[in-house]
Amino acid sequence: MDFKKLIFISGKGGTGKTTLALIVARHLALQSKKVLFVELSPRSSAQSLLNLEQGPNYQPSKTPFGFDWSLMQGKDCLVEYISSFTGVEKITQKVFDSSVIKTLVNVAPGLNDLAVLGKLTSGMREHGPSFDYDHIVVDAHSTGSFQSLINAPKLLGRSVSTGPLKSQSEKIDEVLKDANLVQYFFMGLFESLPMDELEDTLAEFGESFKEGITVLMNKRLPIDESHSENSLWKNFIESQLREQKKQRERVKDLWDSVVSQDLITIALSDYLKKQQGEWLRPL
Amino acid sequence: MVTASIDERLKSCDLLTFIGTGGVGKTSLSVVTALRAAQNGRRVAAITIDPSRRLTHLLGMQSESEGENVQTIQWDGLSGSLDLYFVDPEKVFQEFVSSHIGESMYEKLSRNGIYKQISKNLRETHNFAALYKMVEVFKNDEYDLVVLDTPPSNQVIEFFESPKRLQKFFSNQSEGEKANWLDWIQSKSLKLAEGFMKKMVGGEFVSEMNHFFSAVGSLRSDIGKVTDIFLENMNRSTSYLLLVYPPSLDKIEDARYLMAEMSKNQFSVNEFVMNRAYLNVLDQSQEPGLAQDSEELKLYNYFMKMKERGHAQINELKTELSSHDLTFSMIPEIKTNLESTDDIMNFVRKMDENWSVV
Repeated sequence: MDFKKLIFISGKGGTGKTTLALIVARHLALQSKKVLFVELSPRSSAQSLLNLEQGPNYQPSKTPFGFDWSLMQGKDCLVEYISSFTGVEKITQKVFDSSVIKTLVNVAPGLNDLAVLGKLTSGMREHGPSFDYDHIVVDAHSTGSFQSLINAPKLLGRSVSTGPLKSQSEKIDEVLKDANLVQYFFMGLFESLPMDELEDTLAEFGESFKEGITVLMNKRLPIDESHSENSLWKNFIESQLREQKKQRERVKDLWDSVVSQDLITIALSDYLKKQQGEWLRPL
Repeated sequence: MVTASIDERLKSCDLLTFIGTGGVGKTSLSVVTALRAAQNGRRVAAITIDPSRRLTHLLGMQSESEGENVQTIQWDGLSGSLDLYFVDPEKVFQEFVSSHIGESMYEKLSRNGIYKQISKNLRETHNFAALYKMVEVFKNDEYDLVVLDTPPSNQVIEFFESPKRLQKFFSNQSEGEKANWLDWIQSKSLKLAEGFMKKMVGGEFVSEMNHFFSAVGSLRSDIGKVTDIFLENMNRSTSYLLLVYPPSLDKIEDARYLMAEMSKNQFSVNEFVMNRAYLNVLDQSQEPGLAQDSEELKLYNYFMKMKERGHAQINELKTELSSHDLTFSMIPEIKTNLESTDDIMNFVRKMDENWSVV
């Protein structure tokens, strides 16, 4: 499978976004790529999954898994961006601590989002402070919030008629739609409820981002039939497998580019330590 | 410590609030709990934001339908009643704003770019819409139980802090000294901020913003009033707050964090519910009857281990939070897919035996 420079992983809550983002980051790191794993939530989910003492900060730091990680918040990105103009971080920080700017950041909806996207795409737009990585893997928000994130540049570009904000927004929007640079993984499970939501998401994102989207079906049961003598268990597994088959057919009709990940039955940190993964298989 | 059945625990409440991070089955659980109460003869209103398509379909609701956002559920076996309120945050927020600033003012405001963005995209507005709806429904004497499903968000505490944040947000205008937002910036000698804003966002945006704040300045106190009523209701002894979480490690961390934040804000959580805690087919002592080293045995052992771990984690939380008056409970994974109203009603009927206190 071919990985692009910037990779977003999104999907319904509980589908395993963080787990899969970590697997992708580890997979690329094992291919000797320089990888940054980015979390956008205010608190790290990866830290407990990786069983590490120290969590990520805004400034990238190393993990024992061969990739770097960072916890990125809109405010940090904005401060950094503005500092690159004023040249003095202290002044910028002061401005940002004022309630006016706090309000502005809240009022101009999407300014936070825009700052994050600006940071993530800076290398590709050759504008502002950037990172030196082959791949940036983003553990993004769940579907609804992700939509506001991705639409922020378009909306802001529209609501302002001239100026640097407009041109920057438009450029970011362009990059996000460039399938040679940016890739989107949307998570699915072999269950009907999450699949309904996935179908809606694909309908909404599909048109603008078609080329860049891959569906990632998680928690696939790694067996084809049950050999158990325990009838309760056997019935359960077989009904799960029937459902798996049904949803597999459904997703095949729904989207061309689909990969799957087996249910991980050991601790994630142990799973990632393996040198070669049976991860991310064809559907 | 209460150890009564779920029916007993909920018997004396008139407000039931479900909180938890996304994807834990919070909405489904709130709906089946509402159905259970209706089955027990109570007159129930359930408020939910953005339920999944499947769920609305199963409940026979048309969430897309214009204007109508409340649906009465009429199923066999419900001796009480259930009204489901589907909250469209944008619409509800508009309802609130227009009723407080007046039609003509609203007419102008609705064309303001910033207002449009805020009513559509700001999470605070969505959260506020949910609690505003709750306050509205609660006024209604037709119900003896209101079930509130809080909106999905990365950090649930956001929901409870939203009114405060929204109030702060609208309060620039009401600092007292200055009537004009831009004057205010200048008075604080924040030339740099202003320059940055103009450079970044352009003069047009700045003037839109100015218009926005002069139009909504008066909303601050109204938001405050709604918030006060909401908080009052939440803090009464007949209000019951359930924190729903799944058995995964990172989400248990979230639950811990949430509990701490809730306590800081003087909200008391009444019950910790581990949802989809284990497979109920493992709830017996039968052998798996599987070949050594087979993939299926690994799978079986994995689910077994998960079940033990779920229990262990609850016990850990119990010890840790023993100073709080909390009930710990768990609900097993019963059937992955709710295919029909029968599936839902089966779950509702068996709820008492499945939802067990640990």
